[in-house]
Amino acid sequence: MEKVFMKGNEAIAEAGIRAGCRFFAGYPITPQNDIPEYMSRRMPEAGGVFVQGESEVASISMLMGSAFNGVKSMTSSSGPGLSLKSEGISTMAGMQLPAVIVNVMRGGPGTGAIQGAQMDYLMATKASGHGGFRMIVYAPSTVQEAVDYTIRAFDKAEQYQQPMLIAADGHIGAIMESVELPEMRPVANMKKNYEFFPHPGFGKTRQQVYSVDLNLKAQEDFNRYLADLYDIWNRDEVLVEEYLVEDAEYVIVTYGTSSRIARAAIKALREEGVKIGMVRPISLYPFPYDSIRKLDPNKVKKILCLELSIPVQVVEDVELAVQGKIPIESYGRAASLVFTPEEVIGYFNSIK
Amino acid sequence: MEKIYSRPVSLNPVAFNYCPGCLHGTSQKLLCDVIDELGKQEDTIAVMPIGCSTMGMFAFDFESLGACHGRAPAVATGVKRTAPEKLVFTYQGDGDIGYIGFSEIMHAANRGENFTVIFANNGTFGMTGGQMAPTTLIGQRATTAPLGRDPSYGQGMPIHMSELVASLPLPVYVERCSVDTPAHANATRKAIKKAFDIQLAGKGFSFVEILTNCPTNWGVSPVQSIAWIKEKTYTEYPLGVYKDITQEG
Amino acid sequence: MAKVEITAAYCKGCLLCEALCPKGVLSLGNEVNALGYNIIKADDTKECIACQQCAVICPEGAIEVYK
Repeated sequence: MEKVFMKGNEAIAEAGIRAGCRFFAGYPITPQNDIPEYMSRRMPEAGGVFVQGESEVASISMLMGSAFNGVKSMTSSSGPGLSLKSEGISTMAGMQLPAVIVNVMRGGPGTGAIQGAQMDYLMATKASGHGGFRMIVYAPSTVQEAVDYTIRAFDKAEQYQQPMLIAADGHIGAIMESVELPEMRPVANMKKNYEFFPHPGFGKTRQQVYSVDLNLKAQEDFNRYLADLYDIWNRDEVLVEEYLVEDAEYVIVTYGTSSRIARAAIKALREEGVKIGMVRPISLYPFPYDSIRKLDPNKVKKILCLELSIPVQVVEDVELAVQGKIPIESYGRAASLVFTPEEVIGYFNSIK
Repeated sequence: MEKIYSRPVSLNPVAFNYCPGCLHGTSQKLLCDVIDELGKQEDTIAVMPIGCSTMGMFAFDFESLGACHGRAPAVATGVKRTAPEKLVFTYQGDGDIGYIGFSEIMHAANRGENFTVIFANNGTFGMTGGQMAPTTLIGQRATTAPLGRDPSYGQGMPIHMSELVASLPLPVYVERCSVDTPAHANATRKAIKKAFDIQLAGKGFSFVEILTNCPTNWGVSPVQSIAWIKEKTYTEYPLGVYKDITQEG
Repeated sequence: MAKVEITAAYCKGCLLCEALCPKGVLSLGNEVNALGYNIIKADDTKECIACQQCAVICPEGAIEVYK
């Protein structure tokens, strides 16, 4: 373990290298530019390959090639770039090729606002591309978590042979914090361990990897295989922090940078004697429905969803979990504007 | 008697998924021939596109993967950069390379990536039913150009990929070939062999355009499609070597 | 002495070979293969000269040549 003071974006890049990532392709877009910049000098040192792609579309496609060869691979972008990468991400899910994709989220829609925001929740968790696939999505709230969950994302990508997503927000990407970096892992090629769904028509003995199947029955079987995989994720891969929810009469649901602001607000409100806590999804997908479902409607008066997004998007999953049993309020800021703890407290006092 | 012409070993013992008389089959058979000759069946990775061209995926008995529409040169970049010892090629059609993947082909060529692009040019979108391609000839009818391609109607001019790729500084070898006759097919085989030799020697980007046909969407018989290539396609797309810096200095 | 052998399973009867054969060895036969195509047959009474033109052009790799 090595303790350093590091910017979130660079920490994500270094975590990738230490997890064994040896191929990175990316394209400039704010607020994630430190990641490709860091990779461009660090990757050659580590004996890996950095390519500045001609577009986000090309960059994710380059990952298909490197992942085909069993090389741990990573790309990063922000909202508009993720829209472009969605073609390749969906294809990699169909091809069963592992990779880690980083979305350092900014404002939207469209070009939106170029500083940090959390406006891609629904895209990240429900549809990072066509065809109904899912990814495990980690939302770090500190630079340390950005490191830890980037490494975990590489492990999960390899374990499940699927693309995984880091949904960091621009604030996590930009802040500097003290962080413990793990030891550099030995580089291990994944190719010999690949196991692909047996699509008829393609090589039984040779690695032939496509996201198309002209045999419709086989394609449907593959869709079932993926659905089963998502069931496994929902059972085994949920990560959540429950903060002061034991006695809570009010529960905030939030993640990433918003959860830091919420924590400060909760501490202040607790000092005033307000029984308030927080459910913080760390994995946005699979969503920690159980942590919300188990809240007692006779005890919890209200749930407050906080997000740096207007409209607040995470509320849709909270509604699914609550099933109308607890009133839900939501408060967001957008366009890269950030609520303060005082603002959160003010809003809370207006709805409690 | 001795067998003097054999079906390539690296071609699977299955029928192609192509219409009768489709020269994609001839082109892909030639590719397999060259791979056999080089003894590279175990060390080849094909990057396949979207469109009829991709049907080689069932025919090739070597490693392969399927790119999104137009992205094969980007995928091949990832393949070759992480496995420089492999023989890597893309096999792309005209819609794939000249429309949607124009950025990917030009930038892979401009980076001088050390792989080979095989471009099958038949002037139509075969798989989707004969829509206008970037290479569709002036006056040639397509399902999205029912009166024939007309530049004055905003449908643009036929795009010349070999000339465009050859205009970049880093590509090493660019040739336009055809497979309409056995003599031209043999010349195409030589061009593919030369491109692969260049790649295996680590010299850089090579590009072989092959003029092919589409009897189904041209609305002619396979034999008539051969006459079509001679009469119409050559005029627009002259055969020849457009760049070869292995010959210089 | 030379001959061509046609693999019935691959042939789609496109006639590119017939058009090229300088000796009129190849023509469309009555046999229908599993794909549903009438396939090319080689006429043993005609003299194959092993020029290989049919085999080179054949889009299906269905023709092999012996000499």
